[in-house]
Amino acid sequence: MFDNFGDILGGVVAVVAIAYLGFEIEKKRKKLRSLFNVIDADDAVMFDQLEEMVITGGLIAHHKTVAA
Amino acid sequence: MNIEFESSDPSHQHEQPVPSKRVTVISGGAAEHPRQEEIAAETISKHVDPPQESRFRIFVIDTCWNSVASRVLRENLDLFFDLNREEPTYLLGRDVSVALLRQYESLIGRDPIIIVHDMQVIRDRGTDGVHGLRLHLGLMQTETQALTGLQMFARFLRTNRATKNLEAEVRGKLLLEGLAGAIQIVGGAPQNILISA
Repeated sequence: MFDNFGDILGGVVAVVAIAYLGFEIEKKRKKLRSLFNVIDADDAVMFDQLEEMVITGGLIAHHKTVAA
Repeated sequence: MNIEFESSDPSHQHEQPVPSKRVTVISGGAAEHPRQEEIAAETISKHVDPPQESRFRIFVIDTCWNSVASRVLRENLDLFFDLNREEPTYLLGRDVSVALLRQYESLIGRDPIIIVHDMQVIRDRGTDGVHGLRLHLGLMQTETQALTGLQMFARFLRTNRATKNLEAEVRGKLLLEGLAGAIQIVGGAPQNILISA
């Protein structure tokens, strides 16, 4: 398959480069997930608490008054 | 779990006082041992006329750390609200925020946090699956990062008010998942500003 050392070395370097790129991309995605993320079933209890505060009037929506 | 909230004079510069009111908030299952805390609920009431069927409901949690992110949020909060004025937005006061984060310890230090509930999904499917998104502004270390993050989040909400699949948009446009996301990361996505050391 590889007829000389240069081909083998080139293949190894390419694999390492792709692996490094994949590692860096995944590291950046992990950081992004720590900044932004979806809210799922694990957060349902907090949803209930916040909604309860809204329903009972503990929190009032902020709407800036627009001048006429 | 029962938590009692009692409103008091607001300390936030954007807030206007509302009449003192005692509210009991009841929710269940957050912890095995219920806690009860007396806290002051700081609320805002400049003009209350929330739309009946808003797509999103936005909550801002800020325990007011002396941090760049907290300062950037306070300085730009009115603009953020203005850009998303169709959505009811709730700014939790310091004491309410502290009471919440005492229950969700893993979020301490990540605030200010902006939580967005997708009311359309919640009305259709409840909260069993993905039903919103959140931004941990407190993890951003510099003023540029915090401001960029806030702007990116405001833009995302504004441009995705009518989207049918919010989760796919979050994963594709914010979290840069998939092959297209990988290409963007390598090619220099705006998000790179947020995650540079």
